[in-house]
Amino acid sequence: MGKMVNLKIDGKEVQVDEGTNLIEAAAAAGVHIPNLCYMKGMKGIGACRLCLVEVEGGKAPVIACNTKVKEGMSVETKTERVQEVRKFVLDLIVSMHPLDCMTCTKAGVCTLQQYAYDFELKESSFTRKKFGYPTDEANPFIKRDPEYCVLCSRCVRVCRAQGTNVLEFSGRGVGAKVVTAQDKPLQESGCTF
Amino acid sequence: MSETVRKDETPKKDMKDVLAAAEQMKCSVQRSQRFVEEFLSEPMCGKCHPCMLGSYEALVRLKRISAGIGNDADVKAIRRIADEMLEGSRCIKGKDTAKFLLGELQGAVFAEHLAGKCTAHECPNYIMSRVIPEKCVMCGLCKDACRYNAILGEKRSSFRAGFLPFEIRQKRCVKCGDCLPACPYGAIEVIEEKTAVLV
Repeated sequence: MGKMVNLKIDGKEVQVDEGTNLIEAAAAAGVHIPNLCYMKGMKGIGACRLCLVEVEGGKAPVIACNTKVKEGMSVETKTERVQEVRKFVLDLIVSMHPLDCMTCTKAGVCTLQQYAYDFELKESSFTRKKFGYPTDEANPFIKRDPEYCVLCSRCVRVCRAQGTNVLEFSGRGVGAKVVTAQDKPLQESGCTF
Repeated sequence: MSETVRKDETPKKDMKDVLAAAEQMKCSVQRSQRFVEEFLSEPMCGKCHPCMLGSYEALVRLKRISAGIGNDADVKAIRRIADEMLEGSRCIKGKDTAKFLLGELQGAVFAEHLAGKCTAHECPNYIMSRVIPEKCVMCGLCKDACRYNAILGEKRSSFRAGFLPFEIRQKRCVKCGDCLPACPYGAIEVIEEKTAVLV
């Protein structure tokens, strides 16, 4: 056991190991910090900006996934300022995400659905975007539909970290898409599943 | 080896080039649109969501306004995007874009566009060119300058009694503005399409 650090999250005192990030520390305190791109055990990349929190004494909000705990720090996770940014990002993601929640197999365990519910987003206030990507159903166990992708890049990072290196981004920005080499179906790529 | 430049080593556009491209325009809507287009074309890295999705959405809205089909909601959306991008994006590039948009939104230009007016005469969908018949000497220079065959008319020749006056066919005109400097008599003017009375 390393050194323990005391900090306050939303007014709750919590003690965690040194070097823990704020998302884990908040989870230990029973506070959930919204996030889409954070993955336990991997370095936070701060892409989704949903985990923005305000640290007392800090000027601007910081990303909780990439901020280490400090002794005596006091964190507010639900200030109006960061909630506003969260709602904005969710609004944008929902604008390019099919709203098929009734028939979607992920319904109920979908984080995006949960956050949209929390922020009372029924429909995006922005322009609906459609890409028309084909679904990859060649693998009998994995159905991959890029239409539903929120570009969190978790699959790409995990695939890279475990050494398989099959998935990669093609393109940049809104048009980005997770692809295998030459955009082949997962079955024909080097996927080891 | 040193001869071949690898793809990721080629000089990239940075924010200065983006700003320089935007500075060429006078109309706030066109400036903003140019800025966001240039920003999306190269410097935008796509690593954080507010900037990547936000600037794309801003471009969609700006295009609507410059096409003349924008409304209040579009301006509000752009303002919201700029505000949140300033707050939420990760690096200085996203924040610069947001600041630029906020700066352009301050004037009355966006409101003018919603009312169907582009004072700087730069938004193609808000303007149209017209030949002023009183000033036209029928030299035919504009007809030669027009690459799109949008100008109708007959050069005046002394032995002919009747003539076909010069006029611009709006259906063919792409509003490139090439005919304006071609006329030495200043007989072609740019008028606002939506406020003009069509003859």
